[in-house]
Amino acid sequence: MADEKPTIKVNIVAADHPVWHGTAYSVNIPASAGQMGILPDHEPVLTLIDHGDVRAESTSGHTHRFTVSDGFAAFDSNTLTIAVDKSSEDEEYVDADADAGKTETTN
Amino acid sequence: MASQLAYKSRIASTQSLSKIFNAQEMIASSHIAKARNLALGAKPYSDAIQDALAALVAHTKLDHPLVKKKEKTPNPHVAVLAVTSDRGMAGPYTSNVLRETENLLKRLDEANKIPELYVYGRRGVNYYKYRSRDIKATWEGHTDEPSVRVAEEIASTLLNAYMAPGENGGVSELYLVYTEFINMVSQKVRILRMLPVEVVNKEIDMATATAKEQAEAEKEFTAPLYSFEPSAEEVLDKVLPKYVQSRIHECLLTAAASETASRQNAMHTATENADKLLDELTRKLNQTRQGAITQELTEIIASADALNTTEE
Repeated sequence: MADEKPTIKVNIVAADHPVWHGTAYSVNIPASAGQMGILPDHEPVLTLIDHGDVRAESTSGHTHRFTVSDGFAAFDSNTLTIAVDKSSEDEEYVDADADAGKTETTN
Repeated sequence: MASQLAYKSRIASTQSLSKIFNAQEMIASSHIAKARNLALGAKPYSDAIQDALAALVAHTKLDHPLVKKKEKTPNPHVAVLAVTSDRGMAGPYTSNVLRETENLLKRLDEANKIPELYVYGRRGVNYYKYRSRDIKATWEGHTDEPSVRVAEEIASTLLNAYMAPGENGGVSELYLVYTEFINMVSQKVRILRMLPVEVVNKEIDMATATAKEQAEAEKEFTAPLYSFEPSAEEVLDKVLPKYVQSRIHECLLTAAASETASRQNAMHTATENADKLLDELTRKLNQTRQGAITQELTEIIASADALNTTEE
């Protein structure tokens, strides 16, 4: 375990159903003060989310993208909980490598 | 003794009733799973909100109007939301809620408060309209599947009423009368004081958990030292109304499950009763038919006897 890359447990829930949970190397969340990148061992933080895209680089090598609005994200001891009013996973999930090029088109 | 024709028509109508009850029962039992899934689907969200709130409570001074309303003069107006059903055939479901609501209204009256009524569900609305009671707002047509949107609508209406100052028709408290789903055979009507939000504590909020589970959860849960962004106050400002909304949604969901369970039970009993009635009616029909046959026979024999005696 020690030489493996540290990961984050991610749990995304909408008001009426759980959306996604899994492990990720890093997660980008649209915090109220601007985009916030969360890496493992980030300090515990609880931040509001207005509207935007959550991007999670999952351990399976995929980048998951979710459109979320109105909620909050809580991060503590490598567990990230994102609770929002509405959320949907964007249909395609993109390979981590091809991600940079596709960011423009999907937004 | 009624005629055979009368029995036959009663049997036919009881049979069709029994079919309806049976169908209703089956529909209700198929809805139960759906209602339960809906309730389970909303659980992670309300858990997340409760955790966040518990963390906020641990690290900030809870000085929010939703927790403690500041007013110059005490405001006697209070809001009561009765959660009833849209459709009947659910046994005592709605009448139990309405009875508890009436009791609550009476108690509030005695405490010199002025209750204002909010009703959810068509049956409840009809009940109060028939009695020409003043209803502040109603919601109809959602009791089968209470969506987040309805919960949001109700929460925002009630929060607006609560946040308004007393002079402008605001209320100082909010009570919820709803039916808690305990299991398939028992549902309990509960009265919940939703606003102002009471000591926000995880164990208190887990109304459904047993005492032991609550104690365990309490031990496990220690609020992490979060840094709040943008600020603790702003987060609290945003999370508290969401908490209220999620609690209301939770109540609506458990009420929906109770309604379905109650309907299933009621329809099951109704089907059984109809079948019992059918047995009884069939027996009576056979009795009358037998009686008629016996009478006919006696008449024939008697007339044959009479004919024989005249020939001799």
